[in-house]
Amino acid sequence: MSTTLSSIDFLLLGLYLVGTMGLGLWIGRSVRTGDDFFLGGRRLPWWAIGMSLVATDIGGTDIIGVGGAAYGHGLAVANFEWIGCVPAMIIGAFVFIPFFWRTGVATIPEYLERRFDVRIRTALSICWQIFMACNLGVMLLASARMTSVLFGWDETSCILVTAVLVGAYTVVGGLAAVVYTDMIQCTVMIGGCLLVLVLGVVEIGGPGEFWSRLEPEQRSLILPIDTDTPFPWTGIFFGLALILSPAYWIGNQAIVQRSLGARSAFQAQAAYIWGAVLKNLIPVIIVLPGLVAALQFPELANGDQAFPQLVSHLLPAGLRGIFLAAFLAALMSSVDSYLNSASTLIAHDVYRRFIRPEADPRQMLRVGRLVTVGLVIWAIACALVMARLDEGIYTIFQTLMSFFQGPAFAVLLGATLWKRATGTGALVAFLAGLVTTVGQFLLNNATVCRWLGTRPLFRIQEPFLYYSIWGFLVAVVLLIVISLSTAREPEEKLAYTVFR
Amino acid sequence: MNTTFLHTFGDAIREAMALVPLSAVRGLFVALPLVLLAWILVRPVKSAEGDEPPEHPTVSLKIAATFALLLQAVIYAML
Repeated sequence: MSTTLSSIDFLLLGLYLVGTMGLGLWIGRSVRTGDDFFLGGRRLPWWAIGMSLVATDIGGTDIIGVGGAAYGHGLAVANFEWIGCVPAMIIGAFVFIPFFWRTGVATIPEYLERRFDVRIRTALSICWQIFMACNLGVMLLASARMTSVLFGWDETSCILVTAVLVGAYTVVGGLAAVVYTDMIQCTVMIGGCLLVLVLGVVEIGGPGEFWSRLEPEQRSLILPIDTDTPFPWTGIFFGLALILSPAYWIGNQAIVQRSLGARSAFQAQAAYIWGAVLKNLIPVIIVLPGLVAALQFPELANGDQAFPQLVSHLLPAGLRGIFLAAFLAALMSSVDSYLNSASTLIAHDVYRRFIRPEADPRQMLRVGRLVTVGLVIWAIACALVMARLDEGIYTIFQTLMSFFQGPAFAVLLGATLWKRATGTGALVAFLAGLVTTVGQFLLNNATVCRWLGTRPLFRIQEPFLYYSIWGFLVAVVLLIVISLSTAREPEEKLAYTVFR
Repeated sequence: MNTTFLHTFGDAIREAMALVPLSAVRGLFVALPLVLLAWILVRPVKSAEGDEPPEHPTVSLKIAATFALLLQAVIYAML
């Protein structure tokens, strides 16, 4: 594709980039305090937040990766966008999100200190900070690998250009810039991917012909327990729908933070529901093109080539710029969100909590911007280092970092819904859950298994959905047992921190 | 190859789950959004209409949530 981009394509890309940067920098003019920077001054409207939720969740690598997974495994990958999002977003909208908004916190760990104590706040915040900081490097590198193919640039240039572009408007405009630019990015992303899908289905002969030519297992969302794919129904239902998905939509700082910046609790609720409605559309635009590619190009060596191959085959010069803008939009909307949320965690849970509790709003703004600049530099360095390592290393690293979501969700559920949960119970449960998930990973690792002389613990590829189930269950059991054996939290602490 | 207690326990769960017919599994996937929908519909109206100042038009969030969840139920019933 790098040799077939026309000047119109570059013009469209340029227009998109100028529009996004211009909007982000223009919003930055009204940022005066830390609250403006981290929470958009709590003036964000529901429609922008809802679209930002969707854009943040779908990264540039997701467009390629999900399309590739659909190419290889069929429609089942759509579970991650349907049952793996919509029910959790609706529960979040009606229970957790308005509740968090009313507590007035800026971060989820901050809420946990109000409910329990500083130990669990620190433990969870450290996990999120490490995850986000490393994930920024991973996202930059993965995106650079795609853009270097698309534009014909070297990886280092792609890493630097992306980091500087996204960093500029995030440093200046904070959360408001992130949310409003995400809104544009969501629109461009949906439009660009829809264009690829429509042209692909038309070329096959229409929707009826497209659907009838797919194999039954390619069309099924629900796969048996002995499937060759990483998506057996047990993992999807118990691991994804009941644990990982609510953990993500209710406990992920990068996701929840934008709803904390809503104008009112009602607007925060409305944003989540609007996001849930939009989520119903997402698999149509990113999963179905993978299935179109499976029919059109069944011989591809790697599923990740499916989307680029379709774009190259279907879109004439001039229209490719629209898809590339969509790809960049997806990429930028995820990086900017993680950048802003990581800086929020560091500024609130480290700087204001441990270094300068009396920091005024202007100092918080300065710290927020400095931390964001530091994170951009960190992400660039991280991406450049990982680029020299074996590809599997950063994939494993990312998997390792996602281990704490199940235990963190158990703690969050206990904190919000059970008055008897205690700080010690929460801390022990969280740490034991972490040990459980990491232990499962090790017992499933081929090298460890050879050393122990055992077979892998799980029989499917990438059983991360199962890790979360057991990590969550161990954390729940320990939270109950330890909490019942330790002293109750004072009533005055529970008054505004437990859902009624 | 050695087998640990965890392998035996996991195998037992796997065998039990393999006995569940896929039609029943589909019922589970369809039931999840429907149960959630029923819970939302019986919640007090106030909790769904939020705390907007009275001069703002109050739109019931239940309608949009119902739409999103019904779509899910239809999708999982058909695919």
